[in-house]
Amino acid sequence: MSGELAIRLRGAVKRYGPITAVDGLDLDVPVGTCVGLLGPNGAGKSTTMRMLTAQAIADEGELEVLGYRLPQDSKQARAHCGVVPQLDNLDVSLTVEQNLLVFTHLYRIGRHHRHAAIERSLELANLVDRRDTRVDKLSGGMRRRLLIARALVHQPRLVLMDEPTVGLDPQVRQQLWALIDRLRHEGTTILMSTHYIEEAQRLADTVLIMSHGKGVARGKPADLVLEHAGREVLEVYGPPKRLAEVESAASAHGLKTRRTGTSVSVLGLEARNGFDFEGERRQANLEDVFVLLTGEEIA
Amino acid sequence: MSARAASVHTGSVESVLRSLPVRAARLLDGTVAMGWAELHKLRHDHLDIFTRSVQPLLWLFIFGTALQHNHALSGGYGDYRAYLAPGVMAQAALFVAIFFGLGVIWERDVGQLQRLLATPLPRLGIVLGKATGAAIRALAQAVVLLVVIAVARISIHWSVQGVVGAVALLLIGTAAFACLSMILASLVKTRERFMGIGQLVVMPLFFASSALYPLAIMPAWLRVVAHANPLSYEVHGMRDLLLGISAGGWLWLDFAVMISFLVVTAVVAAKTYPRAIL
Repeated sequence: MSGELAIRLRGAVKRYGPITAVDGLDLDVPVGTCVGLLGPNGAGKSTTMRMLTAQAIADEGELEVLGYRLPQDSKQARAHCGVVPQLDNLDVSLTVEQNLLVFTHLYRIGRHHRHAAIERSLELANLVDRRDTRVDKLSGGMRRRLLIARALVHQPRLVLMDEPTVGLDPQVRQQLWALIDRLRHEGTTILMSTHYIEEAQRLADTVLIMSHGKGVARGKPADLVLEHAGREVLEVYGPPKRLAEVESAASAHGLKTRRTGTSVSVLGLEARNGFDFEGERRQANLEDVFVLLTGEEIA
Repeated sequence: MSARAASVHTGSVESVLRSLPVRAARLLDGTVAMGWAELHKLRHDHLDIFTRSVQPLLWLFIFGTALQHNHALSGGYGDYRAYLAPGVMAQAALFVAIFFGLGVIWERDVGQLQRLLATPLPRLGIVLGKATGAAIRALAQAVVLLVVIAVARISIHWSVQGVVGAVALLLIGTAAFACLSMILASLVKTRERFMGIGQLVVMPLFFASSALYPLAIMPAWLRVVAHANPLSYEVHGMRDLLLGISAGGWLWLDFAVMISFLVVTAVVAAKTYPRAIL
């Protein structure tokens, strides 16, 4: 099975009127890996997710999910995919267990397997003792866990998560990370879109950074950092005038820089060639790569 | 894997036919699951059923009582309230169905529809599941109205097959009008606009039908309109089943018209509704 692709996109294009939301995207998600789709708002992550879940039909390009061509065989593909949406769309007046039961029917789980499927999902999301609680009585974290449990009820071969932790507090986010990490270790194939860099760095085997509907870099997080931002970064604080000086000096030394709000970061410092400024040294990270490649001002 | 997927896609007519029972079973299972969820939601919504029952009861007991002995309106039937009862039941269900689209637009806005689209449930299953939800609400309302009619001793002909038949016709009609509502929802897309369109559709459907008065007393042009209005057939059939009166026409035709109306609106809604509101 190694090397087999759960998702294969070639030259996918999706236009909404004059706007090209996805512009010739190539994407590979090998079976058994977790791929992070990283990009600023408006980069085309959600549109990519929508194309994969049959909520949008690509204008051009080849799309294959689990060997099924989209959009022709979308229904077969959807039967083997679990989708964790960005918006919480649980049935709030039903209980935890009832929400899962409805989905066992929608995903055509045979009568004799429904009970076991529900138990497994409840256990996975740590909601066993909440099975009879109505969803509107659950905490935000529990609702998110249920949303993931619901996507897993039919043991999908591929899980698509669209910004699974957007707008959540750090505790809940960590709970979800633990849950996603567990799935990953069990060998579930995951495609996850996010704009939280830390999330991608922690959970994804490989990331694809998107900008303006295109993939601008792909690879293991550590490799991408090394390739684009080097090992060491110098972060210099100061008034705008000084920051501009640092930038031009760095550029003269052939070093890349990026703004970090109140400071400027000089990347790849290990190759400094005599560049010397007072500042804070730190390790290069994926955020450096992200800002470098996707631009500072967000469209 | 690609080869397997391709062979699934290029199925012959024969294999498509062979898979029909399986597909039908899946469609039914998904539809039933959605209907079941709607039923559970309804259990937490007693107030809704009560408040929705007030308007038909006003029609029945104020409008109906005021004109109780008007034989022209009742087409010669003894008690106008009894004549009116099936019309009011159908009207109440029509309101539930037509404004169902409002809830559907709301569901789109909060991502409920997207959740369903991501499942392998066929589009037709989503539409029929939603329509079942509307029919279940109409059923709860019909039971309330029938109980009130029984308690108030309004003289309809009680028989098991009559009541079951009338309720069945009512449910088919409600499901069909709910599909019509979904088609409208996919055209207007916003809740504010839908309110206006809903009113624009529901009142002519109601008045240009035999819900309140027999077709015979209408001017010729209105009679033509009423003959093209599915609600007339729904009411005609219910009156036949609950009162044993028929203003010409046949019961089987009433069922045939309503079932065809449901098939057409469901198929159109399955095409327009998920696409148009994404």
